[in-house]
Amino acid sequence: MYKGFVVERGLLEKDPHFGEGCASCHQGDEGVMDKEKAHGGLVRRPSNDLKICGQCHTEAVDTYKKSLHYTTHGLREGVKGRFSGEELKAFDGKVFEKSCNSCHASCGDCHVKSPIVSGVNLGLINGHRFVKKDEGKTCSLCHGGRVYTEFTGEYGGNADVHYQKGMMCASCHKKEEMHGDGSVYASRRDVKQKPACLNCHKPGSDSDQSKAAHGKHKDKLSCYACHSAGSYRNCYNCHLGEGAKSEPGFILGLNPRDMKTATTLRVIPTVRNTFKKAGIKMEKFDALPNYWDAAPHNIRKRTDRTRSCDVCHKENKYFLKKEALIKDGSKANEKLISQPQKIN
Amino acid sequence: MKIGIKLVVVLLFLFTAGFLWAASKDSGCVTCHTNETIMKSLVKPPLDAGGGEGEG
Repeated sequence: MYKGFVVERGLLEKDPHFGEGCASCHQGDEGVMDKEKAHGGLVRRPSNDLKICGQCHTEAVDTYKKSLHYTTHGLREGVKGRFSGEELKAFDGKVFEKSCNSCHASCGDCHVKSPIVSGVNLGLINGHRFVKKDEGKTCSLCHGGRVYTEFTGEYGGNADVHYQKGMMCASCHKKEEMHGDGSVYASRRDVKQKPACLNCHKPGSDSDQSKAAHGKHKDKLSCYACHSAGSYRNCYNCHLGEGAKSEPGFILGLNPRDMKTATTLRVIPTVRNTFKKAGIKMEKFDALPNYWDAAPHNIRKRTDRTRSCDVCHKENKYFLKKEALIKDGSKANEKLISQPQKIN
Repeated sequence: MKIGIKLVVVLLFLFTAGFLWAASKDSGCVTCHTNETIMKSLVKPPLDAGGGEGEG
């Protein structure tokens, strides 16, 4: 673990970031050798103040400060529909700023030092180099609860075919998406630069066999509904300060954001007393479902659903059913139930 | 007189050498953080914080 805090000496003369000395960013006392005294007033994460990097990287900082990785607004937007006006104010003060927003990414979290998640501290990404990307030491820490481990196959089942082909997060999630474009988006789904399957897999490039299936399901199914390989992590029963439990699952249903399309759904762990410790009851809990459209990062070309129409159209195997809905869940959940058309 | 000049030269040499030595001396940060042996002795792994499933 100590190696994560070793700075490569050769960088000190070559890299212009070190020109002003360590204390110019980290504060502390460079003139003493005692660890406690040297670390007095230490700023461990200087790029948390965007003005530090903004001295030179003005354009990136100007857009990044409005991006979802920095503001974490997506976390707030996703849940605020369950609150009354008063409850939202309480949520902002007691929960969002203290808990959700603490997860925001500084420049250094992606470019210098791995973020600390659940006590796991890998230290510097590469000897205090300022790296463009290293997904295994950055994205994987914050997004390792779900998508990263699904992507690599560590969660179980098959790895995503894109990972097997040597692609990593930044192969699809480009700098423009991460740094933002200066717009304030409510959700990652609204971001203009977000990746889409059709960006690379152009219409008309599919085989004759799949053309028929693609044609029949156009605008009715997401790509994930057929090409997600299988179970992904679903989290249940989250309570403030206690976390949630998780189980693998694969759920198909109507997309709550586009009710004409069926897609993979992921359970959202918000329950009626999630924020009870903060005195928030969620007066509008039933306004939003407990399942959101998911983009499981475990894609395969061939799955049981692409091999046989029967899996959906006869067996109705994965579609959400009333008896399987979360107990005491939102009344909005039933609207997501859909049954594929029976075929002979 | 000659002894005086010699003394001045010696003092000047000592002052310059001392100044150059001080200028090249690494800061406390650099001395520790570029030395694996020192870092190994100073960094203490945290206790297992446990925690939830993580985000993402």
